[in-house]
Amino acid sequence: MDNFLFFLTSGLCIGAVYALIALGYTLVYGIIKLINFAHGEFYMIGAYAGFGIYLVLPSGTPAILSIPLIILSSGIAGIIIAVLTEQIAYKPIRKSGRLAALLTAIGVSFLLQNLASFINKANPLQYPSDKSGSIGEICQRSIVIGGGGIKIIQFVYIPLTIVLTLILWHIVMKTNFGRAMRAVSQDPDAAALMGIDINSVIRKTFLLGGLMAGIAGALIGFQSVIEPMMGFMPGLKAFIAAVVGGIGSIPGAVLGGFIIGIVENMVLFCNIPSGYKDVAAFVVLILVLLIRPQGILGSNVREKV
Amino acid sequence: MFLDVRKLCVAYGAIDALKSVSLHINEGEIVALLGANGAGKSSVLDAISRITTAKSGKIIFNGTDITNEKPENIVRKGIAHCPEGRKIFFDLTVLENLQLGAYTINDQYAIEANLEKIFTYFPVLKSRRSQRGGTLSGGEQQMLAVGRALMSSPKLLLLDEPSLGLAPKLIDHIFDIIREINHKEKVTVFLIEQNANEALLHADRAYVLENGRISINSDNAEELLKDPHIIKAYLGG
Amino acid sequence: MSWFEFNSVLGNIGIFAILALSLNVICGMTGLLQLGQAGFFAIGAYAAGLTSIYFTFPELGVLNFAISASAAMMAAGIFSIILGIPCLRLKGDYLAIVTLGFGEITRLVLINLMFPGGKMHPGEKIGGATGIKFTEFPGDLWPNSPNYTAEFASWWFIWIAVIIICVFLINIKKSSFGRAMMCIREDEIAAQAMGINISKYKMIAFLLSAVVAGLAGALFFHKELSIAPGKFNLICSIEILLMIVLGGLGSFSGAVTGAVVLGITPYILRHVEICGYRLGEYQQLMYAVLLIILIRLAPNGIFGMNEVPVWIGKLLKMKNKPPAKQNETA
Repeated sequence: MDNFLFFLTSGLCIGAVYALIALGYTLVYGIIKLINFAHGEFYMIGAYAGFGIYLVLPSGTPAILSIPLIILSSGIAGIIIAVLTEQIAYKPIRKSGRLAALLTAIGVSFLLQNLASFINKANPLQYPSDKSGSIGEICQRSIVIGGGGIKIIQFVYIPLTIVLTLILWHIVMKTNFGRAMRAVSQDPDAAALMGIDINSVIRKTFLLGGLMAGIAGALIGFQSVIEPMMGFMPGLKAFIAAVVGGIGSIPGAVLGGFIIGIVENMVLFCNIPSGYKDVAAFVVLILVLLIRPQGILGSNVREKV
Repeated sequence: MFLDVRKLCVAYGAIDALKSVSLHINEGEIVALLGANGAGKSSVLDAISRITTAKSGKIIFNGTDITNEKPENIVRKGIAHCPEGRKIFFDLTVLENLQLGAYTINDQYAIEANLEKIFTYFPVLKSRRSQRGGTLSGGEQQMLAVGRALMSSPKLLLLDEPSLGLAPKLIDHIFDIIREINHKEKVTVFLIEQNANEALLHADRAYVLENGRISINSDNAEELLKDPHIIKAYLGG
Repeated sequence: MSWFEFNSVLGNIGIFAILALSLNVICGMTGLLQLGQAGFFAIGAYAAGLTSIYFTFPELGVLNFAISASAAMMAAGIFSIILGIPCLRLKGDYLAIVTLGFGEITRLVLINLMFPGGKMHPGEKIGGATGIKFTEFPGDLWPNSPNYTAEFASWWFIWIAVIIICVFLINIKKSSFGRAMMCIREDEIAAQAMGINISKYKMIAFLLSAVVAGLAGALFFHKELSIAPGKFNLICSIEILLMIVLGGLGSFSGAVTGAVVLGITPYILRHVEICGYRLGEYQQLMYAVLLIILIRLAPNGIFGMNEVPVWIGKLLKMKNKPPAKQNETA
């Protein structure tokens, strides 16, 4: 029982991060039916930006101040890169079909990974934990739960994700803009007839997605290394999470994120070699697509002839 | 002239749907555009509301040239388009559909007032306000579509085949309401219909579109009803 | 570049040409987005490798290749059926993700899976992250054939295979099979309405595509003699996709052309310098930019659906046509 609690907690914590990234995927896919392969890279850039701000901050800054600042700047970096990508790469090919969109997204993903590689050629970055009270040190502190050490910083993830999800949910369901988002995702032509500026809505959707991804990047940056390829696997898993939960559904993305996080850790709990941990997400994906292709909370979209 | 369409030409690829269409609408009128299936009637409305872009020609509304205006600005200029097939948002509720109609209006009181008005015209929408649009019947969806278009307090209402797929009793009802809206709300109406009979009974003036051009321009719709050519071509005489 | 290197590069390009041909069957012709082709490549390579490691009969010489290649194609085929059945009812984006997942699962499993060493590597387990090798075996394994080597896939061997497969597939394209698949690509519902059994043809496309990829895998093993999972990753699948996008979705000769162009480019880049920057270092970066620009300019690839001779013909005809008259406006 002891061990189980540890893995469950780990799963929930990482699940919260997956959920944040998944939210971005689901929003973008919902509105323009694009699998934004580069979304994981928004997360990676968020992490780098956070670290960049950290380097700029005066060294005496208390963690209680610097941590929110880092999270904020990561979020902003995520916004900027997301909107830039949408304007430069995705908007021009919006009418060119699915394959074009997918390949462009893949191209952007590689591009961003390689750009990051150039800027950060040597070792992966990590918040230095030598000084007591420094961010790195604080983030290394852990408490023992269920026989294993859980880093304290991880306890921020779940509440943060829940708060952000609730805010997002409110925006989408209760505001004029959110209604416009849902309208554009259902029928862009009809939405235009309402006076809705489609381009603006799409841009702002990417903004929200990028914000989520950037913040997630900051969070993970606190507890593990920052390197150019760090967005690849989490991005893939978060996308799987969004699909598992029901793509286009906000609660679905969050549910999916937690499911993937927990299943991954259950694999470890069951003493399966840790190399197979990453396989878990894909297996869940295939199972869900077989049993309930629209995802757990997804709605059935019938193709009209 | 409220709406002035001059030598409008609309093409889809290499095919000219409209070769040269000229018509005008005066403020406060109900004008009908008739024509056979596929004559290109919808293209006229689509060009006005900027769903499509005209190849050549001019569209002037209330003194402004809107030929190349951005689609999202058309509603703000006072034109609401109720398109072919209604295009209501199936997964959103009736209320949300109506709220979206008022997307361009910032005044909450105005939106509330409009909502009450729409509910008065279409009581069934009020009783179904929390239902998803897709669960409504054909006639109710048409009412929702018209109601949604009216939410933006338009000066000109474009209606594309309001009677499509409706039972005869409902068609009467819809047209009665259109007349009432035209009269009470001072909304100018430009409508397309294949159902020439109904359209001509309720309209002030009518145009007939044939082969991409206006073939008949009548100042008295009721007289057109008695025209033998029309009767033969469109009224099944 | 030395002759040896040249051989090797030519061989690699040939193998990727076969992979491009295989992907073209499912993506180009049938219109199904498959992002896990590296998985079948890997399965073929490992099947051929393991078969060679366990069952090599030096007396048979080249026939050993036939054995391992058959094993490779069968293994790939079986897995394609396993993958294909659930995929039959998936559309567009979902299919892309599942196939991507398949490719990744294959790679991850191969990184972790260990196989018995057999007689070639007695007392050891082979596999895992370092892969499997057909070299460094006990000197007295085949006393009667001390010079036996499994390195069958010389560059001309591979290119003969390329040509045979290309011709074979072009013929399939012209046959009723091919036409049915292309119908599915254009409009699934219309194809169904015409009486085409979509499930059957999708399955055939999957199978054919996987088997050819498996053959490429076998050739790869018999060229390198040492394979590891790291090579069979998502980037590999994407590179293959890039080749057929470049050459034109649906064109088999275009696929080969795309493979050649994409295969040669890194070597050219390596020797080109602009303003003191050696372009070779920026290869991946340039690929990414190239991909984005290419999709913008030519979403259907250079050759589109036409085979190269047809495309050349069209090009020549266009140059000789008089300028088109302006449409008369009313």
